[in-house]
Amino acid sequence: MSSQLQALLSEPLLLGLIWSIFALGVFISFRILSIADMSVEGVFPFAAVLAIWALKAGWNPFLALLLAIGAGMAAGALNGVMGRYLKINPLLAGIILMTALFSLTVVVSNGNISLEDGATTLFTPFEDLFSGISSVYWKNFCGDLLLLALVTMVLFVFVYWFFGTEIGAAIRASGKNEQLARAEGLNVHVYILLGLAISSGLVACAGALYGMRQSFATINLGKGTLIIGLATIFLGEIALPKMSFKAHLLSILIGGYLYWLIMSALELLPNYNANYRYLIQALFITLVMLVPTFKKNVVGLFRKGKEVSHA
Amino acid sequence: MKTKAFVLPIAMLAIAALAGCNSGSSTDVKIGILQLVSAAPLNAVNDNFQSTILASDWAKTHTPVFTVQDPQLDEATMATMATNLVANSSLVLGIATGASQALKSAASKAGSSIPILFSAVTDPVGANLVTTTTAAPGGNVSGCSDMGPVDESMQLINAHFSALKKTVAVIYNTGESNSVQQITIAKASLGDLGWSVLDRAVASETEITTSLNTIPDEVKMLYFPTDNMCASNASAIAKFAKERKMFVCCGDSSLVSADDALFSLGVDYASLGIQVAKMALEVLNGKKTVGELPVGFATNFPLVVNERAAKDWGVALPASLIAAADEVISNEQPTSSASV
Repeated sequence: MSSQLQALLSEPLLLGLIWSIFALGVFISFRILSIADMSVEGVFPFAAVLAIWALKAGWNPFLALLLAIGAGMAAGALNGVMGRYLKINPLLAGIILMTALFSLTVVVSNGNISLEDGATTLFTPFEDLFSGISSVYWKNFCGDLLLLALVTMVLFVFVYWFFGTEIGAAIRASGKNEQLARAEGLNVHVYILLGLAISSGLVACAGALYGMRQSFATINLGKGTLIIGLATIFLGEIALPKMSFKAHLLSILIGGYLYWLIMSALELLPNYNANYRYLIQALFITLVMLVPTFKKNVVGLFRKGKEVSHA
Repeated sequence: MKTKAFVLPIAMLAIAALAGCNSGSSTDVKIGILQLVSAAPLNAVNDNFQSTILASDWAKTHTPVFTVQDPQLDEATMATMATNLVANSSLVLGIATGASQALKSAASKAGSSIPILFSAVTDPVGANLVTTTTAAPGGNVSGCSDMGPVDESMQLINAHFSALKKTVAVIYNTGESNSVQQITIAKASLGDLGWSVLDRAVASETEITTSLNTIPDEVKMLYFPTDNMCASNASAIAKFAKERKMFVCCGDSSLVSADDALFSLGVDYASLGIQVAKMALEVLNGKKTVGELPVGFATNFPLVVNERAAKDWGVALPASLIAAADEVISNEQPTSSASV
């Protein structure tokens, strides 16, 4: 296999896993809580630089990850406080938080923070497990894949389990139909706040893993990340049309791989101009969002005679 | 429904396979370039790097195939670009700090010892690209630093603008470690020379205009270092300076040639591109490995003065400064021949 094809097929798998954790966070805020949470663009780079900062300060890599997740959860909770208790429009609250986190990211990183060669990260012990493999590429790939698969599995199982519990169900109810949830006697504010904290905690976990894996991070890392998360969710929904909550979670993993496969393949096209990338992403997401409307209005017209429309 | 789910991945794999198969003839040598963002100084490095390689003797027997990727500051996508470039090239060049770090990170993950050259990186040791700049770095990474003569620039301001009220306003992006480092040097040397500094640090492009507007009228000297954000907003800074009739000194002479600043004792990014291309040719010719090439520093710091812009802005540059200049851009000269 040429190194080109090898990189094209294996790298999206690892990136896909990291970004599916990110997309899982976005999924919770966007699909479960019905909030377009912009603060992820601040939480992701902040978690990345915080994790690298902690590693540089001599922290245990696992504690560095926990620190980043904790900071992310705190940011999510703050987002909830701003949106629910201070009555700031949720979209605006996210933007304010994103802006504030940008400054904190600059303060922690001074713009650009990097690890020394061979510094120990969370990935190192896993990569060392495969030291028997002679190719460094595959050694690192297997180690990274094992760690990321473990973390992703734990988080996805946790989310699946958690949203099946009483508290989780209350969060889902609060996000889907606030009036009804309130009528049921639920404290909607607290549940939305908790949901946002979990969402941002997942985003921070992805940020910390991303930062550790590439061993540096700059303040530009957050740019355009929300759209990556949304694209991942939508791609997954196309590939695996949703049936159950479980299938929906699974589709995020597929979406993560597909997104990075498409992006890597696009970059390899001759004359591909990166200036158009955001436009391509925006067009793509708009198209995907139009699919249900298209099915209902256009496809429905042709089927009218054959079957009874359920619309 | 079931079949539909498979169409997309298969289509993507087809594209992938197609992309994987476009290998060229045997004399082709693939050179990957990762440029952080389109900005005049970085473009100058890129253009001159490519043209120097194309004009070399080496290119008579080999066909360099350049692949340029520009993530437009988007770090998340930069990672896949770096991975692709490292996998598909015989040599890669990173332009600016983040891009160079991404290439190094991608190569180290892939266990690839591909030669990596960096350019337009102010502090390669601080960025963990190399461990030393005084000796051969070893490993597979080396390149050229764009550290400019900041201290000398401040002495220049002191020598020729003593009539001003001894205050220099500085504007830079706090998010660029290279800028912060240069401003620290500038503040120290201005302090030694008895000048005060008005710090107008910004964290985003939108702040530039508002931050500039808070500079008091009596401050007539503005300095900005080799800062990517300032470079891409240089014409906005120039517009403000023109309204205020301020002198603008910057760290990058190509901005002076573009009428966006009045004078610069700074890095000539065009020659920086040539310098790093020469390092690349040493490697391509098989004379040396990257690790044997010590990190280069810009050595050519011409004093470029733009008389034409000064006239346009309605400010009078001191005659002593013009006399000291290595290159004066004036009305009589067309723009094209001004930059050497």
